[in-house]
Amino acid sequence: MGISIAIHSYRGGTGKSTITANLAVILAALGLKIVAVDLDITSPGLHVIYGVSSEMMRHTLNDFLYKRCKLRDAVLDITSHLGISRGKLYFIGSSMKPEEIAKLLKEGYNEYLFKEVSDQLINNFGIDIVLFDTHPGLTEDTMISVLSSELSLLLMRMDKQDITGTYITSQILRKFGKVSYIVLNMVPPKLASAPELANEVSKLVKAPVVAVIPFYEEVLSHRSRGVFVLKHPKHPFTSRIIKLAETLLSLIRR
Amino acid sequence: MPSKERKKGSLREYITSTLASMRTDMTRIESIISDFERRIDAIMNKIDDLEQRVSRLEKLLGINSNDQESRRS
Repeated sequence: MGISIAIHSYRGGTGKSTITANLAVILAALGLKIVAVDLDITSPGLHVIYGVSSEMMRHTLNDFLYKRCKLRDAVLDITSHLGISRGKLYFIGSSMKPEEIAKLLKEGYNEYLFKEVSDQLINNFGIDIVLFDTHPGLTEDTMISVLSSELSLLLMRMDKQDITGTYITSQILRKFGKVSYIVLNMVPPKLASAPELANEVSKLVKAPVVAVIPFYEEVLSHRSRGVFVLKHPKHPFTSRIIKLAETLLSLIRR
Repeated sequence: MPSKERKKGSLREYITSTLASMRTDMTRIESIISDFERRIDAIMNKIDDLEQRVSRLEKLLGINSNDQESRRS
């Protein structure tokens, strides 16, 4: 039985899309059927990391949300495009056209569509994990995806603005009876090596920290030109993503 | 998902009304975050202190840390 995972954060620039894109590839390479959905509908970007052109992406999530296509038409198999030898990786992109973004901003979308997307993907496509890369902040649409998903990852940087926002986000989620697992990303390397860091953050936000990922100059220099873990399989960032994937799988199996 | 309130309306309405009903004490939050920042600073200072001690020990023992680093990589 498949599950849905929402990846969210209070602020933008926490590395949500980078983590989603790389995590999806690692999970697929572990032999699973994964779909990465770009739910950051106001500023989509996953397709850039995956090197998916507008020509390849003939239908988007927007088309499905407005009933202009079936969900299967918006699902793109990118396994061989990325050269992944095991498992399967599918991708559903969002439109970058300003008119489409404006339409969604103005009209929003039916809250049940989120559940419909994950249910269809799990039941009709036999997907093991649906990863949703959401829009940052406490917008209704992001809250719907977080609350409707079985598991959620809340990305946080060790930046005072982000710490405050993550604290508030965790408080809100608790009101809804939900706990997001915390991923500390782009942590100053010196601080990332401190074993007590995860415990301190966990105590603050009252949620388990499942990964501490240091800031790596090489990831920044990579500038979203392809999937980092595929280009640098021996890099410590890749090791951290593999560890995160294994942690997630153990949480799912629990 | 908490069920009772959900039955009254949609999830979207439930989210909006829950958020609107929150009485967030920002002064208290700021104080909690400041305490947290102080604990993080203490961790950073401890690491700096340890690094300085290691560096002093290396000097005393005549070890070149750059050589060690390059051997490690």
